[in-house]
Amino acid sequence: MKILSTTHLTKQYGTEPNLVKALDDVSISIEQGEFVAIIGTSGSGKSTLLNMLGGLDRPTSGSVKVDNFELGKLKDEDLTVFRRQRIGFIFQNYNLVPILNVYENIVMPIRLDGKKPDEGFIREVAEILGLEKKLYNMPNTLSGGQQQRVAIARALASKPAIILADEPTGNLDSRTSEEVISLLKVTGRKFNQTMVMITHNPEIAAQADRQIRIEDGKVRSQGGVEQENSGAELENSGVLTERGTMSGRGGDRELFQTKAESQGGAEL
Amino acid sequence: MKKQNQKEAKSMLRTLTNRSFASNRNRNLVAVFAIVLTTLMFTTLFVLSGSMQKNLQEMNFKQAGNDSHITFEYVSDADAEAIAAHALVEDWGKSVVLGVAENKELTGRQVEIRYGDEKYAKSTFSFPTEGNLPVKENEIALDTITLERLGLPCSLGQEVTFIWRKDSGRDEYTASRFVLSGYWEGNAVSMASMAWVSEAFIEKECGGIDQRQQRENGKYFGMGMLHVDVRESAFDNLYSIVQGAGSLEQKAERILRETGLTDVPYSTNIAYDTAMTHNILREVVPMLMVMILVFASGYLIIYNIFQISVAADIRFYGRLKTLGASGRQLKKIIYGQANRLALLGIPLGLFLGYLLGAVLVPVMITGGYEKASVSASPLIFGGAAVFAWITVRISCRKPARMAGKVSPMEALRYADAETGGRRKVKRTAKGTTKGGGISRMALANLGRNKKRTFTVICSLTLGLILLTVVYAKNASFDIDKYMSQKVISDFEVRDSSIGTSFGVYNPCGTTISEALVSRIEGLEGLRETGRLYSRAIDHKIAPSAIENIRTYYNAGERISYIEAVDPGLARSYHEMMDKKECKTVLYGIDGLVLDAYLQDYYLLDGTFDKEKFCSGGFVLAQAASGAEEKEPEIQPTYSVGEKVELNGKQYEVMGIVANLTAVTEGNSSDEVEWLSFYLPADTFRELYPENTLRKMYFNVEPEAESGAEAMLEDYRKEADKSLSFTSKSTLITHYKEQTRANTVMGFAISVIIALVGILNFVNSMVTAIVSRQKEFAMIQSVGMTKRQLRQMLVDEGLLYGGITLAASYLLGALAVGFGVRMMVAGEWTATFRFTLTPLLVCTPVIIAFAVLIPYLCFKNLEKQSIVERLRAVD
Repeated sequence: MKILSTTHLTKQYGTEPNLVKALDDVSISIEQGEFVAIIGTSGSGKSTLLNMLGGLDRPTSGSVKVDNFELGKLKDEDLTVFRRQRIGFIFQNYNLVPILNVYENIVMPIRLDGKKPDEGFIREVAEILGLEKKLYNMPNTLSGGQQQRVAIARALASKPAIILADEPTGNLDSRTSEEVISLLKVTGRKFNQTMVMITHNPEIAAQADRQIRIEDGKVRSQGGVEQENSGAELENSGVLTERGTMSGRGGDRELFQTKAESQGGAEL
Repeated sequence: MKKQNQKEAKSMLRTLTNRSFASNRNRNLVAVFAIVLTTLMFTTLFVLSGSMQKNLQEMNFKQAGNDSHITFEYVSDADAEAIAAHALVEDWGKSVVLGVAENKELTGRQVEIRYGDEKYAKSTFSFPTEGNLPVKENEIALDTITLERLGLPCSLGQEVTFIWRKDSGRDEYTASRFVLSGYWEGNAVSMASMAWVSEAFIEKECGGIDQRQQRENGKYFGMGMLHVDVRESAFDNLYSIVQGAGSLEQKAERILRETGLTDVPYSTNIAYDTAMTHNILREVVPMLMVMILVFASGYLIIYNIFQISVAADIRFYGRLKTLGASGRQLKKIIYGQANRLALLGIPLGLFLGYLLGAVLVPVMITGGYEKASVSASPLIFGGAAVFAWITVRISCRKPARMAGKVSPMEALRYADAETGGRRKVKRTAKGTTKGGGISRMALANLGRNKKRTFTVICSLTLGLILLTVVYAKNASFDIDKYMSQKVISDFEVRDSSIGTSFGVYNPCGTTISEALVSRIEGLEGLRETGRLYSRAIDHKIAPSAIENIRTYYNAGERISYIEAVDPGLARSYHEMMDKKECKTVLYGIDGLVLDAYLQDYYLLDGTFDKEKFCSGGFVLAQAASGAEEKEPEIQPTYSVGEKVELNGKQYEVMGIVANLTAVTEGNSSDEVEWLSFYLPADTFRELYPENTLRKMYFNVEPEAESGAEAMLEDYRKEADKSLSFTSKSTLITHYKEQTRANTVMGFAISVIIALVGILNFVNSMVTAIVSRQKEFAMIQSVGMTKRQLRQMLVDEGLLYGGITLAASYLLGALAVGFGVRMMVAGEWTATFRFTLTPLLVCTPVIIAFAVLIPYLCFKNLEKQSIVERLRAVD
């Protein structure tokens, strides 16, 4: 079952004569539960693609569909709510909030969503990531590896359907990288998560179910069996459903609700 | 479930707000300071205007002599009971009048011998602060003014003797001895002093008198006076605001109608006339303008502080958004911080503002009333707090929206400059000259955030211009112009009987005795003198004059206005028109007084020939007061060239002159005098040889002024305690005290606004330098020397200051040249003078700040090495 897909996705920065095509007609499709590695050289458009998939940036043309929601059709506020409920982001530079401690950083997106964090689950994740003794430290007292683990814990805490990771091991030494990757694999399997990861490291890429190679904003290869499955079929793959279901996930998940409900619930 | 949701999100937001607040100490300090200043301005403004309002009303009360709503006069005991029992009456006080003290020492001051109950004594501000109201038959309570006049000490048990008449129409004097049972601070503004006697004394003097008879004869002896407060509702206030006046009159009429006492005369307290106390155009509009200015200055700085802060933390907000904070939640974080700052700043501002107000109120409200009271109504604090909070809130709107709208991607790229919009590529022809390159860089740096530069310049310019305008407006006041209307000479002595309102002017008064005149004439440095005599006569008005009078009072609905505000005056008018007869004042003038009327400005019609006039057979007729300031129209008197018959003699009207208060002020008869004529003093003396001087005017050489004043003081002390005189110099001081209010308020507010501007300027410069630490380290690492960097920063400061000053001079010149010129054009007391003095004074201050701040910031930067600064992470 497709959970992530893009259709003729194009992203341009600037205007003539300084026009940069960061993404050029990218159509990909990712199945639920898949572990996909996105590879490519610096400036090839990997990060742009990941940001598009996560709804952080808006496409110039084409569309991104996550869980049957077309992101381009969501309003900014809805997109934010959608993101915090469905997607776990892991950034290369961690993006921890410096004024919050480790525990607060981990639970922030959940609480901003107006939900009570699942304490037991968070303890479990913290334990797996070796953070149980650092929960009340401030981020600036942690090492790079520890900070990255906090970022991972945060991405996992809300039990998102999708994890998007932008070079999660880029700043880590090889031993820690190895640990982090196997952690992600373990948790991904455990919670049946779809994982899309940008990496420069061929060893890590090799561990993925599939590799998508991007060069100059274009998809060079998609690997795997569904490679030919782009194009026409994707375009016709159903209309946007207002209330997408999270099939295959446990019944404990809340659905992405319509604007009024979600906002009313999340905010005052 | 929903509740749970709200709680979680709320507590997370609270955590974020608190931590973010705590990590912005410097910003908080500046912001709290700005909020304190803004609140302080609102509070001071409200305290000052509230106190002014309050003091104005108190002054009106004191001038009216009481603070009751309605006074019923000539009431009998039975009437008083009936009125007091009426449903509309909320509170009442009663007094019984005996007479006026006529001791020689008291000439010029009316001392009314009466009985008054506690409420009445309190409502006339004459309740003993020492001792008590009299109880025993021989007790009396007096004010300090009366005691002082009598030359008696303020000590209880002091013996006092009063000479008075039971019937003012007869020369039958009574001397009564009393013992002082209480006294209070006298009130010089009020026209009369009260001398309270006991009920027992009243019983003894006029028990069993026929009160109806007394009223019919218009005698006050033994008659009661009733002060009544009526029940008021919010509707009444609304009504009186809409109607202007009249609500109290209607109630008085209703009380009389329903008690069947329609012939009881009454008067309402003019101090409650809303049309008088709430002049919308005079008070509300300037107040609103100042409030807008205060708001603008507060907005400019608070907005700037938050804009800088949000811009600096934009990555933080972007990160929060990336991680799932919605735009609304981010806005809440900003507003939450703003509210915390307001919570700290507003109470402090209220407190300091009140203190400043309390210091300023006595400075601005002086002149006659020793104690100016500071208004501390909760409305002032509530209002100031609300306005300050609204200012903070509005100031944060744009920064909050900016934080809310941050796109996650932009946040990662954001640099503190305007994004979007293509920049023209600037090519400098010659970037090689050392100085030119640096200052060009400084200019470019200012241009990096045009909006902020603009806000800061606006903020500072606003304060400077305001200061200049207030100063220029103030400097345009021309005291000589003003005084030329108020007085016609350096000194003026008056007969004491023209000051009494109960009694009548005595044309043969003794104040300006021959001894006094010869002393004045013997003064060293004496220049001109002028004499003024007056006499009130009955006059049969010629038909032509009647026609003039009718035309005048019917124009512009003058008579209907008089009917509305002064029924007594209206009655007199209709009586005059019916009988074609009225009281007329005949003045005898010469010297200075005659010269005053010679001026073109005061001669409204006819041509004046002094020689012809003095030869006799001619009079000058007086126009309505204020006619010299209005368009020429038919005056309510005889026309030029007509004959007037005065006391059996015919005179020709030579001209029509303005009503100069310096001449006509004071009472002349016990009726309304509708006409006034001026004769040469010598002609007047021939008609009335027994007449003494009403007023005498004289000028002295400037150096002889103090000597003349001392002479008059001495004369008063030694010869005649009732002598009253004015000197131009004391009038000037007095006037300056009275007009200080607006000046003080204007300067106080504009100085604070200028301060806010400077704070804004300093804050912007400091944050601009601190936030660029890394950038400076970078350009230093690629070859800029310390000297060059410092030069660049100082150049930036100087440019900032230079642009501000240029804008201030330009706009200030326009504001003074056009705005102030227009403002003072309509004021007869003003002579426009172009001045930018405050700007000139502020110029070095601004330049000093512009150089000093970058210099000090640079010193601070230097403490860290380039590498340390390069490594510094946000």
